[in-house]
Amino acid sequence: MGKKKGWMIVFLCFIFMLPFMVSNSGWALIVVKEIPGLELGGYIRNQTDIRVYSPRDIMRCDTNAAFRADYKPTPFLQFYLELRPFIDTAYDLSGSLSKENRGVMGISHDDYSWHASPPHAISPYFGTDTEVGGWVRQHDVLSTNVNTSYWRKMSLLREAWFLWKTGPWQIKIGKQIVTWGETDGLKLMDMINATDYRHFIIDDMEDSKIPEFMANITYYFNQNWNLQFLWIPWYVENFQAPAGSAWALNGVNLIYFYDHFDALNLQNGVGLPPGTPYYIRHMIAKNACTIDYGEPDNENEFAARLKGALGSHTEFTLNYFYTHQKNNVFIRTYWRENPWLQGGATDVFQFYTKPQVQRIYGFTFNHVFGNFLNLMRDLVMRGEFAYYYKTEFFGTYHPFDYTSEIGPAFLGLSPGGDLFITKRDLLRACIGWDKNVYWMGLNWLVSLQTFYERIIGYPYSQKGRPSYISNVGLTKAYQDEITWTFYFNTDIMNERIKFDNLFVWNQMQEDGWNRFKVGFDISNHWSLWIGNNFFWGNDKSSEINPFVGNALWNGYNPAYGTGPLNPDATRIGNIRRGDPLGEMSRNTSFFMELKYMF
Amino acid sequence: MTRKKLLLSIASVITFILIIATNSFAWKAIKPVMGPGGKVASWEETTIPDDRVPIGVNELKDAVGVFGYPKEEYGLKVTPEEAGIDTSDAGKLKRAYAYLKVMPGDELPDSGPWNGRCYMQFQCSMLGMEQFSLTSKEPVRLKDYAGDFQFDLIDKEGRVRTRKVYQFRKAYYGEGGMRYKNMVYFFEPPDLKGMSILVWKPVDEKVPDDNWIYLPALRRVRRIAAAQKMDAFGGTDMTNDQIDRATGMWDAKITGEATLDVEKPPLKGCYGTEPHRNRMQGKHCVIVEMIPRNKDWPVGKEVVYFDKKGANWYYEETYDKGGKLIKVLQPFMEHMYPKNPVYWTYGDWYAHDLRTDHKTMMYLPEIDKAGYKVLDYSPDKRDWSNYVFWFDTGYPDDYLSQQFMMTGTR
Repeated sequence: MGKKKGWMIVFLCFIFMLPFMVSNSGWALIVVKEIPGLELGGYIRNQTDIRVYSPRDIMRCDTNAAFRADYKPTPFLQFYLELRPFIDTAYDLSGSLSKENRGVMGISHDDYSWHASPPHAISPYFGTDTEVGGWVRQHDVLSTNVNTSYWRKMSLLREAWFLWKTGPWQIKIGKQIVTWGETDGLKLMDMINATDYRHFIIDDMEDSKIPEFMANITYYFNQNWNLQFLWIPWYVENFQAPAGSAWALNGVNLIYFYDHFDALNLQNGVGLPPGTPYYIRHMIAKNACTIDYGEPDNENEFAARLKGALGSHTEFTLNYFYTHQKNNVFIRTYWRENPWLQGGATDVFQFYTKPQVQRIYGFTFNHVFGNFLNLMRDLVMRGEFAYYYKTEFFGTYHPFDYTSEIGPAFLGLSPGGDLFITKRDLLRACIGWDKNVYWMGLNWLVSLQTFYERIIGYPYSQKGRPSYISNVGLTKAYQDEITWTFYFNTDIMNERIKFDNLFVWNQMQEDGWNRFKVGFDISNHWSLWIGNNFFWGNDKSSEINPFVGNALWNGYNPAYGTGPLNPDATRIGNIRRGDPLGEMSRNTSFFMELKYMF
Repeated sequence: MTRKKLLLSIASVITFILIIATNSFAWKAIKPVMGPGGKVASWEETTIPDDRVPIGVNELKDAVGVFGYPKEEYGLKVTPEEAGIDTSDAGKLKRAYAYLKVMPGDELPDSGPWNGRCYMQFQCSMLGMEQFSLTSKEPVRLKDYAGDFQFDLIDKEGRVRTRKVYQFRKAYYGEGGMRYKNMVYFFEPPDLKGMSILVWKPVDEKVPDDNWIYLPALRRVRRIAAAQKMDAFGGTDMTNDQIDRATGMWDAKITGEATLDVEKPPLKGCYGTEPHRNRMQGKHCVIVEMIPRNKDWPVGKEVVYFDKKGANWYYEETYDKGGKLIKVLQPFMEHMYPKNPVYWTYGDWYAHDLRTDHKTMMYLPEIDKAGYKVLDYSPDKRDWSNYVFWFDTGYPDDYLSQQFMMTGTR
């Protein structure tokens, strides 16, 4: 879609919303009198992000809507349907706008295409389909990297469920959202629904959750005690920002990079002995970039939660969740026979995405202190502990000599280190404190949270060499990580203007994120938020880059030319390695959200 | 079974249920037929459609709505004796509040006229629908209340933002250590739809209220601290405490008496005086000064005018810590429920923040959720004959629980 067409859509959306902007009469909620119990409502919203360091780059111009139908034919029965169409015109604009981060390796959006269509797709030589995404099952995370149409389909039917209450039972079946836990901002036990990371972690909690089809049955013993069972028949992965998009994680970009460009290079003979026949190049490319898209052996997921109260001021839950890992952006090296290469072997990068079974045990609580240690009145303490049993991590260990280890001599030394997958238990805990403070004549809600994570049995060595586990920013994750969050909000003019600030700081990585926003309650229908996302931290780590191969492909022989991978690179194209939040420092941005509710 | 078949089956079941569930249900309600002397002579039974029944109450097939008085003056004429009030004997009030656990020094007098704390405690009861007769031989106690409210937030330019809520209040009179429970459930504007706030008020005044909030955007019930008592309720010019009094957090004493005159200060020209002119004029009041015990609270004192004999509450002033008048409030608590004169009912409240010239009108809506015109607060109308009260419906305790906070929302 061209630039003009993109702007035309923005303009049409504006025109559509204009009558509502000048009108402030009548009720927003539509009650359909002909069908008692039926209410229609929703909103139309535009969210626009502009990069601070490059104001001409519109990172997001997402016009989306929610159309909600809420039908309660009887007090014991409720049907809910929500549709969420969207169009993010940032991806449809071209030219000087939104160019910088719309492609991998500096290639602009127009060139790389969402659909990986020719010329970048690998030719279907011998009738095989090696096009990116060609093997990807529909709800695989990686399909989103190359094709947003799936996300459109999936999000269009945002929620559809019915709820039935009978005696102490409450049964809710359909596509829905379930929230667990006590923490704000970061999720420990709140893992029932997959997460939409299309905009990293900046979306509101509700928007960040991907509704899933499930049966949700709760038995209420009394007002304070209940037991909840969930059955989720189909596995849904976290949704990653598409490769090349503003909020793409390094891992996603790298997968795309290898899957697409590396294969393309190999197919074009880059890094291969001169004169390698095309069909051999093609097969090498296909093998070199094989992606092992796995499906869970059994997609069923189960969860149970017991909720209770101790006295009137303490509530707790015990949680269990049998699920699958929802982030599957892993990469590993793999050695295997390849008849098309000299010596019959090659160094194959394989991207391993098969979701692993995950068992999460959790405990949450909250408690109100009327007078905390005679120091502070009315303090709320929240806590959450989650134990992730056998979580799969992606690790890196230091360089070694392929020649003596596994391979033929021509593979030589791997300066970039090697990769491994390991399973470790992960403990995640959080303690939070909420307090209302009167200051400057205003009532402030202040919230402080401390998150602690420990990888049990951290693999400090692998095959006798130092090793570490990589985080999403592809740098080193520490065995113990501590993250602090500080949140406050207040309002003036009878909640017409609201101030809201969230500060997140990872003590170990020394990276962070601060989001400040101001909201204007314009009318019963209209609201406007403006603000700033500020990220800081290391975005070009000095850690060993696990993704680089030999600078000189194939045994240091300049005659073979350099491979697509540069061992000294701190960045590959636009892909930088960094701390989890630091890698997003390029995305420090101003944002605006204009919303019409009806 | 394949996924497609499963989905098809579910869709079929839903469709079937939809079809059979579309039958609406007519609800029983009774209307007073007024006789001579402004007394109810008989009751006329009628029906009202589903959409006039508050959420929750529509689960109770036996619930009966009661229409209000055809004219406001009938309710205004209810005497303190009829309402079961006796401010001359604090001992009666103390015995009625036997379940309260107050802090040392806060005990009510054993005899004699009501003091400031008596009035404040009674105000708390009025607000919490913990309502009873002090004079009847048989105990008369309100069980529960459900109804809707509207808040108009009016800025100094006259722009109006509106909130609409359902409210559930249930008194426990000490049962289970509870004084009363209160649930507010927002259904408009759409941005707030589904948000609900639950308060459990214990009998022990040393123990803070339990407060929870449900935000649909979070999909989570969240416990909040009682310190938010001084926060404005839903953006109004009233604090949470003004609609749900934390009696243990105030010192209260009578500082004087006054006869209200709507043509004189402080009522003359005050926001809300005109529509309340008839009910306030000439009422003899005690002036109760309330000083917060929590020095962190941003107010210096509140001054409340109570009807000396009827314990009604007409006018309230809020001062900042420097002694400057910052807010005034004119509540409306009367006896518009024709079936029982002991019960107090809400009406139209007016609050004015003098610092910002922002105003709030909190009231039983003139137009209900289904679009029916049910009330008119014009000074010359004030007709309650089309408004349906829902008292003593017998809804279960579950209505004041976290489960119910999420009911009817996503």
